[in-house]
This record gives sequence, C-alpha cells and structure tokens, in this order.
Amino acid sequence: MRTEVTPRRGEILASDGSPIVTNQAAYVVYAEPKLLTSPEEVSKQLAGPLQMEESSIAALLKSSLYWVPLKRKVEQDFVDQIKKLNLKGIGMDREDKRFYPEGSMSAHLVGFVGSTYDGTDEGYFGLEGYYDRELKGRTGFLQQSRSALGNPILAGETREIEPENGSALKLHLDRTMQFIAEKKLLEGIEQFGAKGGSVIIMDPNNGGIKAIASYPSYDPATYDKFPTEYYKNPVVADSYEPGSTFKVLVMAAAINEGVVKPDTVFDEPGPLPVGGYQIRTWNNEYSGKLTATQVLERSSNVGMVHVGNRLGPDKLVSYVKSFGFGEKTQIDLGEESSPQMRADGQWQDIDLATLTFGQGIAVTPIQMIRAVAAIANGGKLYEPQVVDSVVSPWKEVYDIKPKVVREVLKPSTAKVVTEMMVSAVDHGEAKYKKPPGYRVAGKTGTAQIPVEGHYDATKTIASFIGFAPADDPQFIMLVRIQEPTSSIWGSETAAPLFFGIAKELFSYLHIPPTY
Amino acid sequence: MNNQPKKRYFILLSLVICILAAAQVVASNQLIALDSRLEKARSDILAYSHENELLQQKIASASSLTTLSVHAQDQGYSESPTFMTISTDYPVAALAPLN
Repeated sequence: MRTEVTPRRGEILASDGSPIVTNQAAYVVYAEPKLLTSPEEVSKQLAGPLQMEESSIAALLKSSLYWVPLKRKVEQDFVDQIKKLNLKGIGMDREDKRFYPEGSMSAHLVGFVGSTYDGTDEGYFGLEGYYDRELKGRTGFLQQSRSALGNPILAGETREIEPENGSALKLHLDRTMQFIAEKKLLEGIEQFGAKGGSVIIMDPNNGGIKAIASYPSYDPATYDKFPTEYYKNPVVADSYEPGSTFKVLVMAAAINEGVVKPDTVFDEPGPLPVGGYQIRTWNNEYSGKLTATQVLERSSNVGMVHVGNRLGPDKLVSYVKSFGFGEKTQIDLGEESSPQMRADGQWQDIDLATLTFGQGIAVTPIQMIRAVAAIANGGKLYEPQVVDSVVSPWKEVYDIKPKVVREVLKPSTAKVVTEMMVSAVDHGEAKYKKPPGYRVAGKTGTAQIPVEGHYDATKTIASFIGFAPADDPQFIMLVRIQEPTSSIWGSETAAPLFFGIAKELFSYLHIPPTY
Repeated sequence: MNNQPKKRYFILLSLVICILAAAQVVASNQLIALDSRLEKARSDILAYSHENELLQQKIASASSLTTLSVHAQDQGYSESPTFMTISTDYPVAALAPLN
C-alpha cells in the first residue's frame, strides 16, 4: 500500500517568534462510492457537517470513480461530527489549512494560500506567493506491506521517503507596530473620510520592514469572499505622484552636489513662468526672499524649481534614478511594480520643473520610503526586506543579511538635510501636530491626482514621510491617505495620523523626549 | 552397524529442524504482537501530536494582540492620552531633601 505523506507548510513568524500564519488540523472528506450502501441517506447525513447542499453531495456520490473528494479543508469539529455518524465508505485524510492567530492583520504582507486544480496548496501574493517553494516543503511517500487486519508487517517490505516540511519565515515585522499601524490607519480613514490609505514603517538602518498596513484590505482566511483587486499590496504595486514629500530628495541632491546650502537665498516674488506654464505655490502666497531651509518649511514649489535649476537637469534626473526610482526595490514580496520614468532626452522644461516638487513622476510607496531612508541612515540606499531569516525544518537558521544597493549621499549631506527636515516639521504647517519634546524629521505632501490628462483639484493623495528621533532614527514611516474629504491637505490628514502613530511608537520603543 | 550413526544423525537433524520451525513460529507470533503494539504506539503518538497542535493553536489565538486588545477593553483599560517622562540632570533620589 502506497501512501502520500503531506508535508506541513512552513509558518510565518513575527520578529518576536509569535506566529502570524500557522497551520491548523483540517481534513479532506472523501467518499468511496462503490462501498456506499445508501448514497441518498449518506448525502442527507453529511449535508449538515459538511455545510453543503444535499443535492451537491448526492451528485458527487453518483460518480463512477473509486475515490471522490467531497470537501477539502474541513475543520476538526465538523470531522468529529462525521466520525460519530460511522458511515461506511466515507473517510477523511489529513489536509492542514492555514490559520491566522491575528485574524486579518498584515493580510497584504502575508498573502494567502489557495488550491491548484488538483487540490495542491499554492501561495498567492505577499510572502505566501514569493516564498511558496520554501514554505511548501516536499511530499513524502510510504510504501508498506500490511496484514489482513491492516497492521503493518515489520518483516515485510517497507519503503519510505520522509516528507520534508516547509521552512519557517521569521520576519522583521514587529507585531505591536503592525497592530498600532493598522488600528490608527483605520481610525484615520474614518476620521478623514478617505477612500483608502497605507502606512509603512521601516528600520532605516537595515531596510527591515517593521509594519505594512493598507486599506481596503481582506481576510486571507476567507480571501475568496473579497474583490480580487484587494489582493495586491498597494505599498509595492500601486503608484502615485508623491508631491511635496519628494522635495527633500531634490534638496538632498542639490546639497550633496554643493550647489545649495541650507542658508542659500532664493527669490519668490510671484508665480514663476516655465515652458509656457505658471509655477505657483500651494497657497498662492509668495514670501519674497527665502532660504533653502524655508523653502522646505513653507513647501515652496517656486523655491524648489530654483533649487532644481541650480542642480541642472542632468544631475537632477541622475539623482532621481540614484534614489531608486524607475527600478524595482527587489523587496521580497510578490506583485512589486515600478512605474517607468521618462527616457533620457524626453524631459521638457516643465517636466523638470514639476519633478522638483514631486508632480509628473509616479512612484510606489516602497520606493519613496526607501529613498528617504537614505537621508535617515547617513546616505545608504538599502534593499527593503520583509524576511529576516529562514528556519529550515531541522531548525537551521539562515539569516538574510541587509543589502546596501549603493551610497547615494555623503553622511554630511544626510545630517544637513535631516536638520532641514526637522525645521520643516517645527516651523511648517504640521507643527501643531508633533508630540512636544521630540525631534522629528519629516515632510508633508499633497499631490493632486491625474485624471484623464489633467489634475483633479478636489482629489488628492495626502502624505507625510518622516523619521525619528532625528539624531538616531529608530524608524522611518510613510503615511498615505487617498482622497481624504475632510481636508485635502497632508498637513491636516496624513501629518496628524503620522504623529498619532509616532506617539505610540515612542512609548513602545521607550524613546524619551530629546528636550 | 553402519546404519546406527546414520539413524542417530537423521533423528538429531529432524529434531533440530523441528525446534527451528517451532522457534520461527514463536518468533513470527511475537513479531506480529510487536507489530500491533508498534501500531498502537504510532497511533498514540499521532493522537498526542494532534492534541499538541490543537493546544498550540489555542495558545496562538489567546496570545494574539487582537484577542488581548479586546480583553483589555473589556477590563476597562484605555489608551493613555498623554505620557510623562521625568528627566533631570541628577538622579531623582538625590533631589530629595536630607531632613
């Protein structure tokens, strides 16, 4: 007799070892139609425990096959009910199913497990999809002689190939941070009347992803009851125009090249004509003389165009690519996409001007946070990583080392831009939202959404990106709110949400105030 | 005269064969008994492993943040609106008056 021995699928663990995804006992309930004495009676008795229509079961029992699966992944309680019925010709084989102790938390990160046409488990999206081969393991076989009573004969012929259980994945993900991010995001979306949003929290010092929360989301345990468009992780798959959050990167490039200093003065007398268009500030107010630091504090589009002009078009585009835009981050999640950048030579004056304040370029949230993390960590562009280590079935641990893609900025530049970002928070529109006593480096962003060739004035993507504490960053976070209705501005939606989460993180990470 | 030793050898050989045959029967029977005990041991191991899995599942559920958050709310815990830190240049105890 030859039996397949199904391996256990590997668990997915948070950084503290708690299971985010594990397995629970489940069974495939099958029928041997040729052994059934009364298929109608069997259908009637099984309808309740299997939660299926009697007619559906009856149709399966009419099959001419020797073995017919009636229902897969049936949980223990229902199987116990079926066992009590003691039905001849009905049996059950072990077929574990995924169990999510934290419910639908981190659904986009983990993905889900579906079935192929032959009933084999297969991971889709997120970590289940990306690491499907490692998690799956390898099926084993047992071929054994048995006596008439069904007992194995030791002296008989036995051939066994041990199953290889799947490896476990230990993540950088912090369970508490993930919980805080999801809870606060949902509260924020309700408060601001938004269509959706996302929060990413990353360790800027190694690229480790501590939390990813997106809304709308789904429950991986019942993924088939949700629209398929919810399965994609917007943090890696959706693109948006970053708006003013992009200004810190252009400023960093200019400072790195030495063409701008924090106290370099620019003139902002009024709208700036570029290529037949007028570049205006966000509030159509003009400050006259502005330092580079004040350009960030007041989020001046006109000021940024001047910064871009000093940098020059070639260097500007080169730095944008160097920060990782136009290429995938190679994060270990399925479904990552990267919006294409304009080809060299296709940048018009107006394109370069709007690029300096983050419009006319599409980025993914993961690209954005990775780029700004280079400011937080002294100039290094890291490859973002979800998985920290892979644990084999034999408990061997394979660490996944952090990977520096390249150095984008000098450490001195990173320090200078950090101070400018601290000033932007302390003196900018979001200053009232910051918890007192903390030095937070950050920038608000309000980007209009392009609709059919023009920008919709009423719909925005409001965002805030920042890291703290500024002198020794423990986390970097990007908050993105899609189409808020209570206010379109990042300073009034994304910024309060950012600081609400940051306040909880300061407490959780035991970060005391600086002053 | 020559037939006597041959006869003895034949009887001895037959005796040995009978003893060996009997031993094989006894050994086979014992093996079958062992087979049943082994099967029972395997079955027990499976049952205990299964029970362990169910308990691990219950532990994972009970210690999930989602569950803990609900229990905390039920017991009246609420989010702290503010938190305070004490920060001085000297240890707090050193600030206490001597008398």
